[in-house]
Amino acid sequence: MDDVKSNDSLILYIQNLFHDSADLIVRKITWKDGDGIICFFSTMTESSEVNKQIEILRLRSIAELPNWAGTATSSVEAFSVPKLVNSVTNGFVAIFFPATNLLMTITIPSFEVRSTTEPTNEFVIRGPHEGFVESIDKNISLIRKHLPIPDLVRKDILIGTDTNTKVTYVYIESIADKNVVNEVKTRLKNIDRSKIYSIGQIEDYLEDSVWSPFPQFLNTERPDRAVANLLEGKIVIFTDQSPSALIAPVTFFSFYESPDDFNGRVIVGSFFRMLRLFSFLIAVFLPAFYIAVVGFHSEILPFDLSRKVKLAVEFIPYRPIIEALIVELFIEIIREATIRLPAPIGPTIGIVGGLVIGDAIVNAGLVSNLMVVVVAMTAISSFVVPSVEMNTTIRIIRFPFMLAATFFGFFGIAILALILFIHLLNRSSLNQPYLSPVVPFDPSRFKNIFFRLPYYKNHKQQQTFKHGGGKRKKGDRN
Amino acid sequence: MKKILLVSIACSLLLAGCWDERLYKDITIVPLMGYDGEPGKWTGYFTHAVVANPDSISFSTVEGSGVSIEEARLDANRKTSESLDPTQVLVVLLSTKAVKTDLLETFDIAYRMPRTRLSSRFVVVEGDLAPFMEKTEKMGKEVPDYYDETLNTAIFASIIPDEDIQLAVRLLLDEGIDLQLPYVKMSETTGTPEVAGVALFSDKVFSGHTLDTKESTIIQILKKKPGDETMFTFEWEKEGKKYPVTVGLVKYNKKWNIKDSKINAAYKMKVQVNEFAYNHLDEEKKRKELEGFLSKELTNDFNEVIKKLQEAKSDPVGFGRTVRAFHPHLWKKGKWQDTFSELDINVKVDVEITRTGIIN
Repeated sequence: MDDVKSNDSLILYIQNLFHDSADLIVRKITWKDGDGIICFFSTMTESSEVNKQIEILRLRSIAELPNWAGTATSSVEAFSVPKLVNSVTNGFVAIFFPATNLLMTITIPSFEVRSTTEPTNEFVIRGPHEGFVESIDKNISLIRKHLPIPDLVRKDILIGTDTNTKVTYVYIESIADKNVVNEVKTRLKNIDRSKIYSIGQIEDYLEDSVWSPFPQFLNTERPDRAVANLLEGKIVIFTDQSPSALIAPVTFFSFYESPDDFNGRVIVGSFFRMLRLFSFLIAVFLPAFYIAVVGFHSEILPFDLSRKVKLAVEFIPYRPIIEALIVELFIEIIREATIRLPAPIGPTIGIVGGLVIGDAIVNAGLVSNLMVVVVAMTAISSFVVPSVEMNTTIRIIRFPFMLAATFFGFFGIAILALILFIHLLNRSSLNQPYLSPVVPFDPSRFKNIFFRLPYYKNHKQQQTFKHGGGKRKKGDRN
Repeated sequence: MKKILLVSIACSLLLAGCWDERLYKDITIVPLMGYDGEPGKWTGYFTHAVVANPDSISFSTVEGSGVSIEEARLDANRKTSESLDPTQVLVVLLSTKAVKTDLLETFDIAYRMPRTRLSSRFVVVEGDLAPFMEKTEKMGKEVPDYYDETLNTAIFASIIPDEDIQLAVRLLLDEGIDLQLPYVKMSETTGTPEVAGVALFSDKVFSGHTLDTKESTIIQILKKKPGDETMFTFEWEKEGKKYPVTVGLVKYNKKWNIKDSKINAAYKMKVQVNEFAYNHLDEEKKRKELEGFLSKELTNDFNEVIKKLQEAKSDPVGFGRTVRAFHPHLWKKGKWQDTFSELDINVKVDVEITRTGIIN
């Protein structure tokens, strides 16, 4: 009776060791001299193979072979907790015999998942070229491969009474903010829809403010990006059958960081990080600035430049805003068209649309050549951001700026920029400030926005967010 | 309530009336303006851009008259297809007659309206203004570009001060220093306008005195605001033969010693020898000889310039600023320009040759 009790408490103890991870299997099995406890991550092992291996070993032990546990796939050693943890997190099946205090490990890995390809919308130059696939287990195993630690916790929730979609969130227990983890859990539990099947629907439920044009979750299909964010204390959310993961809580500046930053060298990485932030300013403000200059503030042009501008705009029949909208519309149509087109035709359309029509539209005198330069530069700048959602956001918010510039010139741009920053300051991602570390200001992390510092300089764990202050009540979603 | 608030905030944006739209294609750039006349009877000349075809831009001049310079512009405005926009102006030409009245009163509009380009420059031209607005063959480019580039070259060679209309108003208002404006003449040989030195102002009006290019260069040195390339050429006589010597200013310091109605100004200059065919400057004796010669010549030239300034009752160097700060009894004697013209001012120049070029 005592034996049974102690085995049960042992199972509980091991479960606690792994923070009760849902994919951890800890079971009692019967063995020749007393019970054993089998323990492994179901996501990292071939479960059907486990039984076969155990059967073989059991036969060997009954036959009382000397060193019956030592086979090609298994070995035995004295039990200790770190050894158990180490072997389980590395994908071994561990069997512990309390009676003899021995630990047997069997290797039955199931890492050979469908070949993972690099996500087409998140290319990097250096670094791993693998991407998530359409299976949660395989995705988690990709993460666990990077992070063989017991602190990596996976939690599953079933959502949607009709669809029974499995939503999984992963975090590192020792780093992640407990309040944020609880917040994710509460929000996921509060989803009461019968049909949920895509990650985008989950995102709508999880976001702090759905109506903001700014994304509050980072979308990625790259395991290395997910791992880097996990190590910063963030939470990664998957749904089954979807290759993209949501990462939260994020700040505005997270969208401007690329895995390339840390794969490249320090100065190069810093240069590109600043270039990306600069491109944000261009993408949002450049067309508005041009419209304001041509419509209101021509006096700020230096004389040599003003001559060129004058020549460019003199014979254009439209107002600057109409001109801008013609080119913007044109570029957006080309972009949308090339996404749908099969790969061999896409570049052709790009060339025909961009070069031929672009040149013709200027020659016909519908649009000034400067406006084409401005809009083309803006369009290219908006694609610099290494995140697809932020890219679409930027492309949309420049239209209000163009309108404001048309009606009020620089004054309008200033007012709208003010409103934009007030909006950004009020946003939050899982109740964490969106514009951190600018507001609330944190000097030690502030420089990380612009510079990619040498990795060894980050002595303290990069804790992305601080507790307390401005917490909003549950249900207050705006 | 919230709605009313939002609407009223949105409407208040419309009250920002100074941001009225002025489409760039409907206005024409005026890079060069000229004013001639006297209070109550001004004639303005405006060189404005004309875009006849999409490939090139040309300039033409239109004339207008009125009781003020703004009325002259409005008058000229009626004679052009597009509205004249003086916010791009690079150079404002003024006839000697026009600067006989207070510049501040004449150009009130330039300082009152926020759109004025404060980096444009005033230029005084000799005689009648109209011929200066015309393009001559020798200019080689458009008139506004010609003036702009000529002035920049003259600033580089420290013939004229680097002063825009913003600085001009400060100098006009300052009692301790007087304004000097670039002085442009028609060249007798080529018939093209050229920088001939500076026009001296006394208090707020043109004194009637001008300085030639060498004298105006000395003013810039006295003021300690020389351009990048300040050079002097003298003729050095040795053994019955004349050798031209050209020296460029490298570095110098000034020291003014002011004692009741007497100013001793000492300038210690380090120069480089750019041209000296007699050669052998590596020998100390020759160098000392040349240094002595240069010091003497420059001291003479400097003192001559001071005399001319006193004659004109104009103090563009700014002795008055130092006097006002440190010698109140001298400052309080009366109007500074009068005091200045009677002061005993001695300039002493010490030249030291520090660079002799790559041959000895």
